[in-house]
Amino acid sequence: MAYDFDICVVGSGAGAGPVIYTLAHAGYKVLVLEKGPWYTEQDYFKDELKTSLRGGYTPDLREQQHVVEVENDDGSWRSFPTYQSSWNFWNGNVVGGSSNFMSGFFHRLKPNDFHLLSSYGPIERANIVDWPISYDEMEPYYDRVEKVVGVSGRVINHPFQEPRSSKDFPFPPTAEHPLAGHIDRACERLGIHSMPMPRAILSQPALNRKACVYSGYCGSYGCATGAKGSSRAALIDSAMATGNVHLRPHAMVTHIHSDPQGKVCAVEYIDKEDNKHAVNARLYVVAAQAIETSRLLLNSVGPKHPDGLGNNNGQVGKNLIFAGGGAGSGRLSYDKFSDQQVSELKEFGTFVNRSVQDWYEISDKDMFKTDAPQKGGTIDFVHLHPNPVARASRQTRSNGQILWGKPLKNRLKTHFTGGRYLKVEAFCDWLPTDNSHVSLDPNVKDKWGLPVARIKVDVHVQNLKVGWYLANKSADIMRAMGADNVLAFASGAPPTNLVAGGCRFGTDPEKSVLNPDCRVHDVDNLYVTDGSFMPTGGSVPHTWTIYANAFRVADKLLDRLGGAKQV
Amino acid sequence: MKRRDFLLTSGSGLSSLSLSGIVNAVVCSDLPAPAVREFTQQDWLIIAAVQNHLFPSEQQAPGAVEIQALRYLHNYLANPATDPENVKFIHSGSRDLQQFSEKNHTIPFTQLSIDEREKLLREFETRPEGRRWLVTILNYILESLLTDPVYGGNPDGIGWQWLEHRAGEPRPPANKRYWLL
Repeated sequence: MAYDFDICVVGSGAGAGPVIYTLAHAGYKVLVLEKGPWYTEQDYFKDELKTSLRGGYTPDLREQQHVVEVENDDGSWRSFPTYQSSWNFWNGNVVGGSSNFMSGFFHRLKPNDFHLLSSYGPIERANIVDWPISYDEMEPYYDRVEKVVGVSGRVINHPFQEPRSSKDFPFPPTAEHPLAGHIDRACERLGIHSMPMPRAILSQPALNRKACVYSGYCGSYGCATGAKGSSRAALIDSAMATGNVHLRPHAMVTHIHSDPQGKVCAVEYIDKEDNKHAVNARLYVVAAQAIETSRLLLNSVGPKHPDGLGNNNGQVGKNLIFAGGGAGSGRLSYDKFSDQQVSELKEFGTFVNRSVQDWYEISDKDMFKTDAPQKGGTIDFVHLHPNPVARASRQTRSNGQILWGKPLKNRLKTHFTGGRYLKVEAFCDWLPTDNSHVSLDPNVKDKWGLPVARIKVDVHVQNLKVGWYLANKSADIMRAMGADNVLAFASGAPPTNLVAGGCRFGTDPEKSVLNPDCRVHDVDNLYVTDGSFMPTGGSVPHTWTIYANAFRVADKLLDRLGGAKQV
Repeated sequence: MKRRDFLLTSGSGLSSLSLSGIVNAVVCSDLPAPAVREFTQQDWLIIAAVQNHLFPSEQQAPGAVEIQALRYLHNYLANPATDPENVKFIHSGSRDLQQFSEKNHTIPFTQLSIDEREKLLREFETRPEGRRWLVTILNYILESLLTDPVYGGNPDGIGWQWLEHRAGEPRPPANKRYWLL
């Protein structure tokens, strides 16, 4: 049978890029279907309206939305469409996906994250399992990401440093703001190991890309230099140069057709002009980010898949996870520091880049009422996000009234000019439960008439306990730095940009959607390579692991296709 | 001229006017954009007065007038990319405030003293819809203060300078404003 392409990839973000890159460089014909537009470095500006206030990189919620289901205080559940709320689960529908807009805080999972159940035991109401592969199997791919996507950093010794095959990062850390020195000194006094945060950002020109120019606007913003290791800048641009990739932007995949034997036989999509197309390939990959991947499979019923593709055991969409954790902030008020220090603190553009992983595992009987060690997490120190309208808007809240007039203006002046803010993002496992999942909403449809994803969000109390623990530790560090206005808290709200699970991989088809190679158990030619595969998320942002796993699966795909055609 | 281009340039008549102090009646004489045609002169006057109250001009600090908050809001409402629901909400809120003001005073809102305006707006704030409207108006003032001047507010970066804020580079050019990309 003649195929249109060797491989058809749905999506172009961090889960898709490694597959596109690997197979294109190996000489195979790759089709990429991306629902969003194709922006390049010339299209990315430091424009808060486009980036954050007008949803410039995500669909219009009037046309494409989600339905969210959350728990009330009394244990009942309520649901609402996102257009009628402040929620938005889209994260960058453009070529390169949301990796264009990441901050690129890159941490690997630790060996214990691959066997959480065996390491720390069961937790009531949490669907914790061991992964079907070990850290050792993933390590070469973490290493590949460092070298191919480009990760900058410096390895230091700390209690939970994971094993590495390369001695250090291939690129030195990005330039550091003087706040980093304040954090280091405070941590040293407290006996804590502060470490340079690895970043998926090039600190020097390399890999045919420019270095970071320290614009001061990184996370949420598309990179105008190519230094940020988005799937587009780091992988797709290079893959395009092989001539083996056919990339179709504005291509919304609506259905994956399967034949009477249950194998995928075509992918149907709608282009910008609303014309329908169908294409086929030897192998298919779905990487549309966790929620949309589950939705697409559930919408793709076929003769052997009456409940959705790969869903004969009812597992598609189950065990959706986010990143759990906490947050905090503090201010180094200028009136407490010397003129020299204030001048340094006012430096703009460079990164804070400090992390603490001393509590990746926690032994604290007072807090957890047990001698058994608990899985903890990561504390990242970053600048307060520079978006000025967002910062100003937060100053309008005052004891139930709106602050306006001269009192508001005075507060704005103090907020913007009186000190330097430090922010904390703490990451822990978001435990999967029976109540965290994606299904198809029975009522709400998108503009093409397809049922939208209904996202049920459940917060396990353990997320909050660990989140509070980490947040309080971060507050101790900020106070030791001389910060005031210190706030720290755990959050039960799902970070909608840090989502995974829904098609967990495993060896048992009754309890997972994908096999250890991330192939759908009962669909021989269909793979899922985004964060959907993760049964548990680790206590770090997921992106590095998504990249690494997609490189791992790309090698499996390459083997199936017959190995590299050209070097 | 394409409809969109026409709409996007229609604010220029407004920008050429002096908006110092209480906005005079001329403000709305040149606002032909269909998206905001439902806004009468009185609507614009009351919105301008509210903006000036929420974000007053000071000797050392720019207010709604200096940051061109009315022009900015007009640009936003006239933009075909703007959700018509938002346009409707801002319009109906201004009408609600006018009615609320007429119930309490015999003279128009725009002629009330600062203290009378404060009292009235605080009462308006206790109504859920009133509060939502005031938050919205204030939000677009802050956008006008701190978004890129290419969008019509923050002329010459006056808001950034006041708050010692550093804008990022590269900044958005006119042909790549958010709805054009």
